[in-house]
Amino acid sequence: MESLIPDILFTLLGHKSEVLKCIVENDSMFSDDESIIVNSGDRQLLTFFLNLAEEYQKLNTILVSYNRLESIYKESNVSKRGMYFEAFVDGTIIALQSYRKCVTDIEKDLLNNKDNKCLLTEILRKVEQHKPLIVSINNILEQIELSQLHGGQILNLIYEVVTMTFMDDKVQLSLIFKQCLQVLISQLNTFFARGVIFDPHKELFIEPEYSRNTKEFKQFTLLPSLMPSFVPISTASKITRIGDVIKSLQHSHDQLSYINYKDISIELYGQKRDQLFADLLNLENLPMFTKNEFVEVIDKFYNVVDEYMLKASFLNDSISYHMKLVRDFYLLGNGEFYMHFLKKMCSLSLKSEHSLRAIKVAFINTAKDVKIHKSVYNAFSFSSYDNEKNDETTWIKLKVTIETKWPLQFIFTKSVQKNYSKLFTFLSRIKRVQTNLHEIWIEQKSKPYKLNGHTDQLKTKLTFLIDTLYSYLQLDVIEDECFLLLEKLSNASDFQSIKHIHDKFQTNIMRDSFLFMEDVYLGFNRILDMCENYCRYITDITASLNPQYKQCYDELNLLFTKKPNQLVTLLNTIQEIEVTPKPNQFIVRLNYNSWFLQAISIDS
Amino acid sequence: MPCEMITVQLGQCGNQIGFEFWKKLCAEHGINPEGVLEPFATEGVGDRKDVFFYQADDNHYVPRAVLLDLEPRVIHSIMSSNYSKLYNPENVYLSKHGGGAGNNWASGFAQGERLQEEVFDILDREAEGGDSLQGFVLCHSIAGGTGSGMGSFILEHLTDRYPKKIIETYSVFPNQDEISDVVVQPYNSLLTLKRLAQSADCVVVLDNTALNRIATDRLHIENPSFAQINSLVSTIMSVSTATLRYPSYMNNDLVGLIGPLIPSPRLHFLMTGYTPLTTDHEDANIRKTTVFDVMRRLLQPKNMMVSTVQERSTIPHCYLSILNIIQGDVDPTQVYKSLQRIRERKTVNFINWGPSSIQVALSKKSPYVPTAHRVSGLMLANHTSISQLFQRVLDQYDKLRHREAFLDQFRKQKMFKDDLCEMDDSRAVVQNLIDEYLAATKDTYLQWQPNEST
Repeated sequence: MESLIPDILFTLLGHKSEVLKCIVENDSMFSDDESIIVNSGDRQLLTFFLNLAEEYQKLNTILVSYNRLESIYKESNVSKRGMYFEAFVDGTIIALQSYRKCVTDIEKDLLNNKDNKCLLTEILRKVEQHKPLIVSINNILEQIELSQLHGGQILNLIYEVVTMTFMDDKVQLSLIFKQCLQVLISQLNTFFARGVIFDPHKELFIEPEYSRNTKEFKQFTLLPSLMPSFVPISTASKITRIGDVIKSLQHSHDQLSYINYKDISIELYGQKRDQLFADLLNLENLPMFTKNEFVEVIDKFYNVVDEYMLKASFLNDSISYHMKLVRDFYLLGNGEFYMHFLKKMCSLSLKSEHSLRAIKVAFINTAKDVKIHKSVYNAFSFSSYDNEKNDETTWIKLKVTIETKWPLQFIFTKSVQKNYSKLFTFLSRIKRVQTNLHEIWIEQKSKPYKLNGHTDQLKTKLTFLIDTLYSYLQLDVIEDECFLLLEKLSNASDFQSIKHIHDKFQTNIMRDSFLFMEDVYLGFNRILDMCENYCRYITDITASLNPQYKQCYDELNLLFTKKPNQLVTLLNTIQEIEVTPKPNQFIVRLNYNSWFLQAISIDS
Repeated sequence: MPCEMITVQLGQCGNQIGFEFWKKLCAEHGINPEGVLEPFATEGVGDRKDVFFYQADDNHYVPRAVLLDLEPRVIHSIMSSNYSKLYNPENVYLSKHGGGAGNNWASGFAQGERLQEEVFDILDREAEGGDSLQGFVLCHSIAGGTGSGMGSFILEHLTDRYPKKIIETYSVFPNQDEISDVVVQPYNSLLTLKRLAQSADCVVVLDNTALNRIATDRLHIENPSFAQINSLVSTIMSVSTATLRYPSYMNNDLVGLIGPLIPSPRLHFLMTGYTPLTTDHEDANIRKTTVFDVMRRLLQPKNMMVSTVQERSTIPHCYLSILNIIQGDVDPTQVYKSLQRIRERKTVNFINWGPSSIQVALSKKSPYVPTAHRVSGLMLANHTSISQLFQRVLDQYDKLRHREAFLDQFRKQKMFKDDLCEMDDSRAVVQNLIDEYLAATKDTYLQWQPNEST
C-alpha cells in the first residue's frame, strides 16, 4: 500500500491517476499485481483519498484555466467571467495554499525520512482537515455556475457564505472574500476620486448614464440585482450621490470638455482625504468585515461631501442669493419688474401663442429698464414644454430655467424648475389680469362720470376677487413660506436638509396655490380668461362689437349672482379642502365683510 | 423705468408741507440737501429714487417738484434754506406781482387762469421728462387763496390735459377749533371741494383739526407749531408712497394702491391714521409693537387724522375700504392672524353692498432713518364718516352765505361778477357728495340716484 503514496499525493494535487481509480474500482488489470495488495479497508481508505482529490480537481481545472499565461489566450473566456470571478479564483488559490502545503509537506517528509513509516491513515487525517473548505468552495463554484452569477452577485454569495460559516475554514473563505472585496474597493476608490467607474464587465451595482445633457447631474443609477447584501440601498444611493457630486463639480470647473476625469479629491475632501481613502482601503484588512464597517466608511465619505456642499451653498450667501432669484423672478417678488414686463406681453390667456424669442426680448429689455444686473437676467432662459425646437408656446406651457451655481443644481433640479415654471405662469397670469383691471380703472375715470355704472360695479367686484387672490398668494402663501424657509435654512446643518427644507417649501406653496387641485387650478384659469376678455371688451372698440366678448361679459356678470356659476363651484371646492388650512384664509379674505359668500350662495 | 410722480405744491401751506415732504424723502433715500447721494447711500438698498427724483447730468438728484405761489414768503424761505440747491430753479414759479391771492379763492382761480400758460409750460416740460408718468400729486390747503383757488384751476386743467394720469391730492382742511383770520374760508373750502370731488382721482384728507388734536393730546405738545404738524403730514405722505419707492412684490404702482380703495369714483376721499406716534424728542416710553397692535390701533378713532365723530353719530357710518401699509420688522405669518382677530371682534363696520376688506401692504423702510419702533403702520381708509367734514364746510358756508357776508371780494372777480351760480353749483356738488357718502352706508347704495334738482 505504501508504494501508492506518491500516486496518492499526486492525485491530491489535482492530477488524475488511473492506477488508483482502477484499484478502487477493483479493476482486474491491477488486482493481480503482487506488489499491490489491497484489502477492503485499504480500498475504503483509497476511496476517501479519491473523493477528496476529485473535489480538489474540480477546482483545479478552473484554477489552471485561470492561470495567467493561459488567460492571455482565452480572452473571450475572461471577459465572460469578469473581475470578480477572477478575484474569486485568485482567492481560492490563496485559500487552498494551506492544503497544497499540507500535501507537499507530506511529500517532503517522505523524501527526507525514508525510514519513517508513514501511515496512510495519518496522511488521510492530515489532508481530510481541508476537505470542508474544498467542499465549500466547490459549492460556491457550483452555485456561481448554476445561477450564472456575475460581478456583485459573486461578491454577495461569498459574503453570505462567509458570514453563515462557523467552521474553522471561515478564515480561509475570508481570504477569498477579501480578494473579491478588493475589486469593489478599488472600483470605489477610483469612483470617489475621479467619478469614474472602472467596470469593463458591468459587474458593479452602479451604472453611469450617458445623457447628452451634461447640465443634468443625475448621472449614475443603481442596479439592485448586483448589490451585495452588505450594501443597504441608502448607502448605495449615497455612493451614487457622491458620484453625481463629483461629476457636477468637475463640470463646473471645466464646462467645455464633455468628458472630465480630473481627480478632484483634494478639493472635495480637503484634509480628510488621506484618512478617508485609507479607511476605504483598510476595509479589506479587517479581521471581521461586516455591513456596519462598510456603511460607516461610506457615511464618512458622504458626510465630508455633504459638508463641502453645505459650505459651498452658504459661500457668498449662494443659497440666499438663489432663493432671492426664485422669489423675485419665479414667484414675482420683483413686482416692479413684472409690472413692466407684463405690460410688454400681450394676452396670457390659455389660447394665445407666444414667441419664445419675444418673451426673452421683453424679459431682457425690462431688466435693462429697471436696471437689473446682467448676471441676474442672464440666469434665466425660456423654452417650451411642448416642443423643444418650436419658438411658439402657450403661456402655461412656458418653461423657465435658472442657471445655478454649484452645488445648487442638486436643489434646483429639473423637476423643481418645472414646478417653479408652473407657479410662475399661474402667478403672472393673475398679475397680468390684475394690471388690466387696474387699467380699466384709469380708462373709466378718464371718461365722463357715470354714477354706479354697471360695468363699474362689475369691475370693482372682479378687481376685489383678483386682488384678494393675488394678496392671498403673495402674502399668505409665498411670503409666509419664504419667512419660514429662511428661518429654517439658517438652522440647517447639512446639505440634504437644505434640499429637504426647500422641497417642502415648494410643495407647500404649490399645494396652497391650488396647483395640485386640477379643477381649482383650471377653474381660476377660466375665470382669468374671462377677465381678460372682459378687459378687451371694455378697452378695445373692435372687441366690444364682437358677440363673443359680449357673451363673456354676460357670463362674468353671472359670477356674482346666486345662479349656479363657475365662481360658486370654485369657491365651494376650495371651502371643502381639508388637507391644508391655508385656502380657508383666501375665503376669509374674500368674505371679510361677509358680503361675498352671501351674495353668491344659494339661499336655502 | 420707474412710474414717475410729479409733485405740485401750491400756496403757503402746500409749499410748507411739500418742503417737509422733500426733506423726509431726501433723508429716506440718503440724498443730501444739495441733491448729492450721501456716501453711505451709494450702494442703494433696492429703493427707487427715480419715482420722485430724476438725475441731472452731474448725477445729482432733482425732485420732480413744481413749486407755485402767488406771494414770495414761503418759497423765499425754502430757497434761502440749505435745500435751495435741491430744486430745479426753473420749476419754482412765483407770480411776478407777488401780491398773493389775498386768501381769496376767486383771486387765486383768476390768477391761475391768467398764468396758466407759464404754469403749464413747467408742468408739461416736467411730464415729458419722465418715461412712464403715473400721475400728479398736488399739495395744498383748501382754505386760503392760492392753494385753493389756483389749485382748483390747475386741478381742472390737469385732468383735461392728462385724462389717463392719476391726480392725487394731499389737501389740508382748516382747523375748526381755531378762529381763522381768513374770514372767507368757508367759501374757499366749498369752492375747492367741488374741484376735489370732480377733478381729483384721489384726495388724501389732512385735517388740521385732527392733526392739532393728535399733537396736543397724543404727543403732548402745547400749541403745536406748523413745523410739528407738518412733520406729521410729511410722515403720512412718505409712508403712503413707501411701496412705490421701495418696490416689493405688491402695490408698486399708484393705481394698484388707490384703485382698490375707491370702489365708486366719486367716493375718493381718504382718511389716514398712523401709529405709533412719537415726536423727535420723545422716545422714552417705547412700547413693544406687533403687527396686530399696529393694525388694532389704526382702527381706533383717536389715531385717525380726520376729526369725525363716529361714536355719537346716529348714522351707521362704515368703511368702503382699508389699506394698511405696515413697515418695519414684520413677521408675515402674523398678518393674516391679525386680520382674523380683527374680524372676529366685529368692531369694524364695512359696507354691505359690495365686497370690502382690510388690504395689507408690507413695505420696506429706509435704513437711513432710525426709528424707535419695530413695527409702524399707516392706514388709508375710505370711510363714509368723512362726509361729516364736508357737512361742516357746508354748514359754515350756509351761515356765511345766509348773511351774505364778505361776498364783495368775490364779486370783484370775473367768475362771480354776474351771479353767484358757481357757489350754488359748488354747494350742490358738495351736498351730493355728502348724500352719496350717506347712501353708501345703506345696502341700497347701488340703486341710489342723486337729487335731480341739483
